[in-house]
Amino acid sequence: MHALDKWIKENALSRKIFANKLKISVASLSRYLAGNRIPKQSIMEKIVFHTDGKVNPSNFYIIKNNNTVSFNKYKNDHLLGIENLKEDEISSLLNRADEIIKENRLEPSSNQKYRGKTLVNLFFEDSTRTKTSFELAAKRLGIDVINMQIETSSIRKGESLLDTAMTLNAMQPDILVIRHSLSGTPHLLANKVNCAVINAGDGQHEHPTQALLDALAIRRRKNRLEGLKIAICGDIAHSRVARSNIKLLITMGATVNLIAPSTLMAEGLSDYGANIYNNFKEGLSNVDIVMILRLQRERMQGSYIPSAKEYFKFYGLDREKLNFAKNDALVMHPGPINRGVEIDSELADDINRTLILEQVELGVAIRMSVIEHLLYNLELKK
Amino acid sequence: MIKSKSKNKIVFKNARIIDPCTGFDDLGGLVTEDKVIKDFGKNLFKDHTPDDALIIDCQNHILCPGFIDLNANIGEPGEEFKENINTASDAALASGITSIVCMPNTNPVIDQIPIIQYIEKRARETNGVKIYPAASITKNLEGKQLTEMGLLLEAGAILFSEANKVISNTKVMKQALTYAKNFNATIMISPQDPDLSKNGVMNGGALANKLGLPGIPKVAEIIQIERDIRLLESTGSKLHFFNITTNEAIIAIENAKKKGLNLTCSTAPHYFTLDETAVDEWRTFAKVFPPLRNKKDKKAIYDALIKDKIDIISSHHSPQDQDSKRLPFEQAEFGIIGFETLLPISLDLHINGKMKIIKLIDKLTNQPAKLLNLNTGKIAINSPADLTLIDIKTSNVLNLENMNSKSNNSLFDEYEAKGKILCTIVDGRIVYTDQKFNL
Repeated sequence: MHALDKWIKENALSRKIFANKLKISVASLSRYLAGNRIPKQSIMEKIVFHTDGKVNPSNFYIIKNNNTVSFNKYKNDHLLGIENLKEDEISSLLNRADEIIKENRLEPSSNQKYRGKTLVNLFFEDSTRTKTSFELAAKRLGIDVINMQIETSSIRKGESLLDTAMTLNAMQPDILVIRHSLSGTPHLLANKVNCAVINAGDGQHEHPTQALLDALAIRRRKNRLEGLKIAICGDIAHSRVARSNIKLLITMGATVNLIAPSTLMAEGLSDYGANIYNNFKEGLSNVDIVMILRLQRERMQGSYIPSAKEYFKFYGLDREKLNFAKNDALVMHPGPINRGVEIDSELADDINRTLILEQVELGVAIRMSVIEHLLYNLELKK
Repeated sequence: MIKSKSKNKIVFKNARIIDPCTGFDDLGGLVTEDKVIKDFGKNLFKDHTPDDALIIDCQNHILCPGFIDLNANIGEPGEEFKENINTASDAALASGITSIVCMPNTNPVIDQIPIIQYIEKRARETNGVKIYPAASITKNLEGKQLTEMGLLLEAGAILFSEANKVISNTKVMKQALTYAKNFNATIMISPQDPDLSKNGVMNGGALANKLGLPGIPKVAEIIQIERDIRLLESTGSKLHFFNITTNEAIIAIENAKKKGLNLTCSTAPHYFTLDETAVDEWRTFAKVFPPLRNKKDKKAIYDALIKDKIDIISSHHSPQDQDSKRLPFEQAEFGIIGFETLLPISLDLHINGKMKIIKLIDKLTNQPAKLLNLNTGKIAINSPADLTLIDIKTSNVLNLENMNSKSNNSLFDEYEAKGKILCTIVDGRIVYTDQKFNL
C-alpha cells in the first residue's frame, strides 16, 4: 500500500477528502498513488504540509521505481555480455535509462528504495571513467559502494581470484561489478557467487555497459537504432567495446560497417552480420554514426601498424574522411582519446559533430538502469 | 573366470587373439610362463588345459598386446600433486597400457642421467606399467645446447623430444637431427611455431575472437612441420611428429613419406573426437596444447587415421589438478587426462569409422613398438608377456569417479562408449583385472 494511502486510512480520511484538500481531482490523486505520475512541485509541497511530513517526495519516487512494466523484459541474473541478449531486453535497459535521465533532470531525488543494498566495484585493471561511473550510478540510487582496487601485482598471479570472489560473496553484496584483463573472468565468478555480476570489461571479450550507453547516445540523437548505418573504426581485433557494440547494434536492426587495417581486424565478426572494410572511403559511405576506437599504445610498436603517423594518415578520422559519411553523421569515441592518432584533435572537440562527452554522461544513467534491473531480478529470485 | 593354480604360468583360453605384427586374428589359446609368451595358437588348449597353470577363460574377448603410449605426462618428478608414478601406473594398467613414454618437461627436466635413473628407480618400486623416459633434445628445454644424447641413451632414454615445445632455432634443430643420427635415435616433435602460437590458448579463428581469447592459428602447425621436414630431408634422420591436429599437416607429412623420409606421426583421441566448440564458455578442461581445432580438422584427423595416414594413437595424458584449471581460461594450464579414455574413445574408429579392429590395435601396439625399437607390442613366442584382454562389445558410461588418475581433468565424463579393459598383464603378471571380470 502506498504510504499516502496508509496515512489517509490512519487519519480516517478518504481519497476524495484528501484530493479536495490538495485542490486536485480524485483521478489525479489515484494516478499519483498508482505510481503512474509524480506530483509536481506545488502539489508535492501541499502533500508534505498536510501530512506533517509523514509522506514526502521519496515515497512517490519509490512508487515510480516499483513500476515494473519496463523491468520484466530483462530475464538475466547478471549482465555478462550483449551476446544472447534479445531486442526487448536491450530496449528495456535503454528505456529505463531514458526515464532516469528525465527524472534526474527534474530534480535530484534522495532515493530510499535501495537503502542497505551494496555494490562492490572489483577492478583488476586500471579504469577511471567506468569505475567512477558505476560508483556514481550506485550512489544516485542510494546504494552503498565499496571500491576494491586490486594491485597490479596480484593480477598477474591470479590464483587468488576465486578466493577473493568467495570472500566478497561471504559479505553478501548485492551487485559485483568486475573488470579483468582476462576474457571470461566475470562468467567464472558469476558461477561461484550469489549476487548479480556486471561485466565492466573482460579482456578482449565484452564491455556491455559501454555498448548500451553508446546505443543510448545514438538513440537519443537519431531517435532510433533500427535502420541506421554505423561504422566502427580502429583496433577491432583487440577491442571488447567493438565486440559488444557489433552484437548490440545488429540485434537492434542497425547496419554495422567495420573499418580497420587488416592486422587489426578480427576473423569471424562477419558471422554476426557486420560488413568488413579496409578503407574509410567505402566503409564510411552513407553512414549515420562513426564510432572511433582507441588504439592501445602498445599496438603502435611491433607488427600491428608501423607508426602512429601512418595510422593517422589512413585510419585516423579527420574532417576530410568524415565527408565520406552522411552530412549529419555524428562521431563517437569510448575514450580516452589519443588525439592525432585515431581522431583529429579539433574534430574531437567539435560538439556539433561529436557525442564524446555525452557518452560519459549517459554512462551513469545506463548503469543505474542496469543496477535497477538486476536488483529487481534479485528480489524476484528471493 | 579365473581358476587359480600357479602364478607364473597363465593360460588364456577361448580368446580372440589379435596380433597386428603378424596379422594373426583367430580364436585360440595362449600361455605365458614367467615373463614371456610361451606358446599360442588356434588349437592350443582346445581340448585340455595344463594343471599347473592359472586358467583364464577369455569368453571370446580380444586378447592383444598391451598398448604402448607414446606421449604421457606422469607428474614425476616435480608435479606429484597432479600425478605420480603410482597413480599413473594404476591408470595406465586399467587402460590396457603396458608401456608408456614419459615426456621430459618435468621439473627438473629430463636432460641428465640422474633424472633418468630416478624415474627408472621409481618405476621399479612401483612395479607396474613399464616406463620409458624421453629425454629432452636441448638442455633445460631451452632450444640452445644439445643434451648428451649418447650417454642418455645408454642410461635408458628411449627417444628425444622437447615435449610441447619445438626448437625455434633452425640451426639447432638441424644439428639435433644430424647428431641424433649417430645413435639412430628418434626425435619427436609436437609441431607448433612458437612465434605464431605465443600467448595463444585455443584454436585461432572466429570462436576465439568471439570469446576474446588469443588464438593459435592452424598455420603454426603447418609451418613447423614443413620446416622440420626440410631439415629431415637434408639430414636423413628419424623424426616423429606427435599431436597432429590439422588437415594440412597430414598432407605435408604424406608427401614427405612418399619421398621416402624416415617420418611417422601420431595424434590423440581428443583431436579426432572433439573440436574447438568444447571450449564453450571458457571451459578450461578443453584447454589443450595444441588446441582442439575446428570440425573440419577433427574430421580430417579421423579420416586420416582410417586411411592410415597417421601411424599411431597416443593418449597425450596430461593431468592437471583443480587449482591449475579453476582459473580464467588464459591462466589455466593446458592438458587433459587420456589413459583411461584411450581405447573407449579410439574404438569409435572401428565401430563408426569401419576401421578394422586389428588396424586400430596396430596403432596402439605394433606401430609405437616399431618406432621405439621395443621387443614388445606383439604376440610372439618368447617375447615379453605384455598383454591386455578387452571387451569391445559392451557399452559403458565413462565415469571420472572410477578413474585411477590423481587428476580428473577429462572432457569425457559420462561419455558412453564401448571398449572395456578386462585384464592387463605385464611381464607375465596379472596387474589389473576388472571388478566384474574377476569372478
